[in-house]
Amino acid sequence: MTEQDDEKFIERLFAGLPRKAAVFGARKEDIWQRVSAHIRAARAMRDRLETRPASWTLFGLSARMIRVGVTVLVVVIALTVAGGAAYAQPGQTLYPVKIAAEQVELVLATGDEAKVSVGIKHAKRRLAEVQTLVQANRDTQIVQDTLDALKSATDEVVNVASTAESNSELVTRASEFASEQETALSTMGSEATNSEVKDAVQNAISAAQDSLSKLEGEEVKGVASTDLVPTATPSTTPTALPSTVPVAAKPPKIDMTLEAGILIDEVITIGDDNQITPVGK
Amino acid sequence: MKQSQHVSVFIIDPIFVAISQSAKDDSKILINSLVKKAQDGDEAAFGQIYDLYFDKVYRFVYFRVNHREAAEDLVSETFIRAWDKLDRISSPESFSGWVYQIARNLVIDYYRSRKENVDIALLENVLSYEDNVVNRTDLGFQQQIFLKFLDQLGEEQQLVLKMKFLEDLDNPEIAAILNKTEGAVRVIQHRAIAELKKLIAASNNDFS
Repeated sequence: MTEQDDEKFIERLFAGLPRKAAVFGARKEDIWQRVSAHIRAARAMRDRLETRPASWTLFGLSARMIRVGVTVLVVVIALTVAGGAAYAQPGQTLYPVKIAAEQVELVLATGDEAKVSVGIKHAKRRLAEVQTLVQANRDTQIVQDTLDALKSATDEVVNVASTAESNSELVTRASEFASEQETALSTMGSEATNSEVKDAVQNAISAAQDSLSKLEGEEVKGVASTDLVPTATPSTTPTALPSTVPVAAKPPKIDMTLEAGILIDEVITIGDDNQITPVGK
Repeated sequence: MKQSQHVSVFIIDPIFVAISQSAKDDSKILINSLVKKAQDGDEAAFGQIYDLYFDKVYRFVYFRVNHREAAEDLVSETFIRAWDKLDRISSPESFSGWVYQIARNLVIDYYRSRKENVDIALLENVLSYEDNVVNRTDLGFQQQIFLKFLDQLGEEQQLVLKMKFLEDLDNPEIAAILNKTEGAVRVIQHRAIAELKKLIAASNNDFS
């Protein structure tokens, strides 16, 4: 008996077993309709995809090349708009974009030196804007708003410069700018024809002078006093600081008492072991 | 001897075997030709493939999900996927096993979607008594003895024999469903048949 014979023998035995009924013949056509509908849909989709590149071809450029080109164009337009905003003047549509961009620039500036550089750059822009507005005899409110912005920018520079760890160079740069600002504002004030604008500019000159005074005070102090323990009380705070200029967040250094006309012995005592002790402790 | 009697009864006519083999070869040639045409996008050729495979694929699915609507959905999805991925098969000869693999995977997904963990190999449920054990008592004496011997085979051996003789699947198809090589299926089948023959011969029952 061959292997094939054995197979037939077993097949015959299986054939005698009652199989479960599976009635499906009637559904064969319905199921094919589903399959056929899918085939037609898939074919239609493929035809659309195959014809699409032809419709997208423009001047011999493929759809991909066109997409890349459009992307480049969008980037160029965005950069152009941003560039245009850089020249926007107060009151113009793109001016808020320029201010927002400056805020981002300021936030991204890390370190005191970078903050002072960026702050001076922004403050110089405000100053130039005020100059343009005054020369163009623009509305007082816009001039006032721009002067306020100039003052805020200058205050920020003064604060950072005066509270920086190694601040002598930064204070010098800030002072130079404050001085430049004062001169420019004085010129503007004399050229202004509108009395309200003149007053506004005059107030700005006073603020610039206050900033300059504070910075000059910082320059006088020097760096040797940083070793001293800060014991300053409100009464020892320099009275020269104008109320409009925010007091530096950093505590005043001990040598500020010298500027206030108080003897150092009244503030600290130096022991035989060179130990510095605040008076009254 | 009982065994020799069986042998004499079940000797197969060589001419019938030759014709049967020839028909199988012709069928394979036809299927290969249809698959090639369908791969070129011939929907009519795919329709003929559907005609040839529908009954077998439907039975395969239905006997594993035991639900008419679910079986219909799975069968239509099987042929839809077959059409969509027809260009992925390297040779038309592998179509038969491949289409069963699609059906098998869909059955697995069906149970997975119902959050049921099942062994696809154990789902086969072709015989009527497998749904209702009582029906088994209605079987003839010889059939009951045969089923008893069948139960004594290993699980895999039973599966291969049932697929082969109850579901009319050929070895490449069984191999695809069980994730085995054709050679491995042939060996399992050969050993299962030899085992069955031995049990039948030892039982002294007349299976002629």
